[in-house]
Amino acid sequence: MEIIRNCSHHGSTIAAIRLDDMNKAFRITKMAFNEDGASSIMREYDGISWYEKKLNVNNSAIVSFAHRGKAYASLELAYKDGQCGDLSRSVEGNHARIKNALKHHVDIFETSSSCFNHGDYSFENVVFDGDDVLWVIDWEHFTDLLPKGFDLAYCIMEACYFCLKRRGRLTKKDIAAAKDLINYAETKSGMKLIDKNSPATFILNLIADNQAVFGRQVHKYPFFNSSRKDIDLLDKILK
Amino acid sequence: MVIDDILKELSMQKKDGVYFGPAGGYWSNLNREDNERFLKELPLLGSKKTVEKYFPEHFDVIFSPKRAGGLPLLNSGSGELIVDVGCMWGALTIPLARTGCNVVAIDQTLESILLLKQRLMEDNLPNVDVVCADLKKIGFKGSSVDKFVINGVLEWIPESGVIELKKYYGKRQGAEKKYDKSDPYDLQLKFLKGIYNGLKPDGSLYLAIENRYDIFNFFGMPDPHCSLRFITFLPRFLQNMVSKVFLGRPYINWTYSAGGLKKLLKEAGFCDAKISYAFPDYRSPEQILSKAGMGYYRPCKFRRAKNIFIKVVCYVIEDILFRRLKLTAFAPSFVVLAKR
Repeated sequence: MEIIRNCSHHGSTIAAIRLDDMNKAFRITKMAFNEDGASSIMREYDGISWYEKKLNVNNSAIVSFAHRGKAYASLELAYKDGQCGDLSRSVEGNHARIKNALKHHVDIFETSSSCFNHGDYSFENVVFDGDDVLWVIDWEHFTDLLPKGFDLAYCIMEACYFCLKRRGRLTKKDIAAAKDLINYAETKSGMKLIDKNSPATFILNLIADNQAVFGRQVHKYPFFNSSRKDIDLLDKILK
Repeated sequence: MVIDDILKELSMQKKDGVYFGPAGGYWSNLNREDNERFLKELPLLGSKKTVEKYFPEHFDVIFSPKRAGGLPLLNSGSGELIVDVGCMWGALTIPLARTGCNVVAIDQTLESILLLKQRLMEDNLPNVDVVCADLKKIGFKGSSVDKFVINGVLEWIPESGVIELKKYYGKRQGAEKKYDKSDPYDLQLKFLKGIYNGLKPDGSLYLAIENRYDIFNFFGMPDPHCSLRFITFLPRFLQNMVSKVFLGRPYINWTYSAGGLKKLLKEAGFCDAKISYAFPDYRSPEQILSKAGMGYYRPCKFRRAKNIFIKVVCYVIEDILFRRLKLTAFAPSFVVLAKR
């Protein structure tokens, strides 16, 4: 077993990978020996169980789940071999994949009568096979306490934010791609997702208003951590 | 009763929930007088508040969940009997107990044990028996324990007497610096043989220790046991000479290379020792990888450096040596899982 991450992102869970005889990953284990971490793992278990039910999968990805009291939990999952979304690429370069991620989300979540969100529907948490969505990972923020459609708005705005931060700018094509994605998500879901006059501020306020849902991990959300200058710049560009 | 099942000393006295075996010395980051003041307030304020008040610098060492990063390797299950040898404040004892194992926690320093007892009470963990005894003198019944945990203890085995780390660290005088005059290798071997004899036939040992050839020692990082620089990787006779010049005694806190550690474990009787490499150290590991898993390595030690220059140097070393070249021989520390 390879311990690849111990308590990152201010969280308290340990992530480990098991390798097969060919040294390829085939299992991922998450374990926690404290209340914060165990609660995340239990939420993740709930999220994946719900997701698999919606997908109607035959073979569950959950290999084992154990918990004891409030301060210990362990979840072993089958490793999904694909490519996670890459936020260092431009919005335009990611356009097709993000669109598929949004479609997948609407197909799974928006058909639900209850108001669930993944809670961290980052493009990096979607596993692709080519441009098609294979799986969604990292369900530790699965919740019914966020406004419906939060994931869709967050996914698009995060892609824009990282394009701006990592590439230094959004080109005209990126801006057009972002606007197309917003229109697509709103049409597909039949909801108004974002305040188009100040989309970045809108997301920031949503996260700030729901801090309790994210717990200590709220600080990992780029919008929550970013400077006012970046938020204003994004608002101006995408307006 | 678990204690009677595994320990030879059946006549051990029990007082206030602590079993007392053969008396040992004292080993703590805290001086005795500081510990005394601390323990007076402990029952009133509770463990976290008392530590915050008296030793805020040690808060993470005691309570951080990061300390338990290696435990998934142990794969412990509910009902197993695990002995944490040299448990100190319970950084691993408490996470182990939370999984539902029966844990026996042994340490020679009563002051550390009393803090652990308080934490166990606050966490409502009755599945832990606490023993205050000399780790070198306590004897285990044959084939009675599922797993042993030895986390940062083996290198201290040749010491004896009182070690108040603040006074002891890197000083020639000012602290009582007793040590066992026998060969450190023989002492460590004898200790490991005792552990081996206590294990069930399918039992395993979790051992964490620094690498003698940690690359950062070559760049002048002090030995965390005696504080001297450029000493760990020297031949043993040179280690003794340097230590005698600066500390007035031979070098006894022996650490090993991966090969040396395997040889020691084999001589103690263990048949299968799997070595993983802990980064940036085994105390608060961020990654613990086998040779095959080094493809997942990401530089991490640089984040703990205090100034930008050291951060850059650390990052370059980690990136080249471990991420690109995968030179595990120079990894900072080892986590070994050895089977009986």
